[in-house]
Amino acid sequence: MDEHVDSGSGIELDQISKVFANGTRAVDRVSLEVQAGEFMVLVGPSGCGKSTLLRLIAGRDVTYVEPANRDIAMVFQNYALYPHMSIRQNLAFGLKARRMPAADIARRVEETGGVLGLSDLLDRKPGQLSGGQRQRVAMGRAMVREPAVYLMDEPLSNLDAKLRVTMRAELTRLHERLGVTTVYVTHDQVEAMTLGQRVAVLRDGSPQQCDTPRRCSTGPATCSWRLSSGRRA
Amino acid sequence: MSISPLIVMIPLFAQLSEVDLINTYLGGIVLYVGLRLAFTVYVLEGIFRELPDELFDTARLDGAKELRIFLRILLPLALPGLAAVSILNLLEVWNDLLVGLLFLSSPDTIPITANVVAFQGKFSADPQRVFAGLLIAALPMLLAYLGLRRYFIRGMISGAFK
Repeated sequence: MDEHVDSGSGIELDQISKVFANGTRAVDRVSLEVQAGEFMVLVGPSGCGKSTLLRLIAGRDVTYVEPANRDIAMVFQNYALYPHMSIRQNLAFGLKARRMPAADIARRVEETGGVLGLSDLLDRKPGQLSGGQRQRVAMGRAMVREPAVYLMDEPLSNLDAKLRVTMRAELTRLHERLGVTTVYVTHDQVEAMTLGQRVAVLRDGSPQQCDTPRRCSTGPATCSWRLSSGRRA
Repeated sequence: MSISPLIVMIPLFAQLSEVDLINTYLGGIVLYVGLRLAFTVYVLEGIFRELPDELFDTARLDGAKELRIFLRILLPLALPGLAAVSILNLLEVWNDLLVGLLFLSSPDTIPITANVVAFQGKFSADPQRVFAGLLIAALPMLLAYLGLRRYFIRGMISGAFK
């Protein structure tokens, strides 16, 4: 395995494999280059290894660089908010861990809260928020650190259909404004086509195609995506 | 504990006599800790294991070191469980008669709950003293329960996940 994340830059995966203890090859020699500032979507059916790949980038299984030193923020499908902390503390946790001065932390938390419309909710606990609000807190916790790379693991899949469309537009706008490299995992093809600047189609742990959404839909390199999902792109 | 504590009392008594820990507070502490440890580890292991991994992954990506994760995330989330285990152990140790009578029977060290028995002889009983003693013996437990009660009621994990 060989992988590196430079500050404010793209991601390069070179022949990445991941084999679990029981012999399952979840990720099979994946080479993928994500440009700096690009919005890359990994799409594929359940169990194709896309989340595993994302976690490899996050540093769960790779020992070369500590997760803390990768300057990466990740948004999980179930948000994984710290339930015993207020929203303010949730947002501040990563900054405190990096020993940022308290005044700067307060300023950044207020800013991020303002951008995501959470200003009135900062003193509540995650349990007192709706699903959409929690999702925004999870985004905020990633944003507040101003990382070099965002990793998102199906962050919208727990929202209702209407909210999902709104948040999708929100995400696109956010990416246009911040221009931060983003890797986004989803099994939803509509999400992949509307969000991604480029889309990588994964199946059985290996990439089938990596191209712009338009070219992915008009001329698939393989037809496995359609076959595997049973839907037309 | 999978075997009855009664079974190990004789060897324990022999061992503690050898190191002169009979009728000492230290001896009592060592015994109670040893007897309760297996149960405590068993329960706590289950509590820690139930906490979702994503929380710790997130904290690691947030740049937190293991000690901070332990103190700021794991410990607060495990607090209700820790409180429950504490109160169970407290009750068990407080109500214990065996160790008190066997190992701590000198007037200096005998626990209050074991001492209540002394108010009651083979041919005589002193109900007023016995009941007064029992009331006094029960008070600390009542207070401890009132103090820790909220941890039983509050499910702190609620709201972390969808």
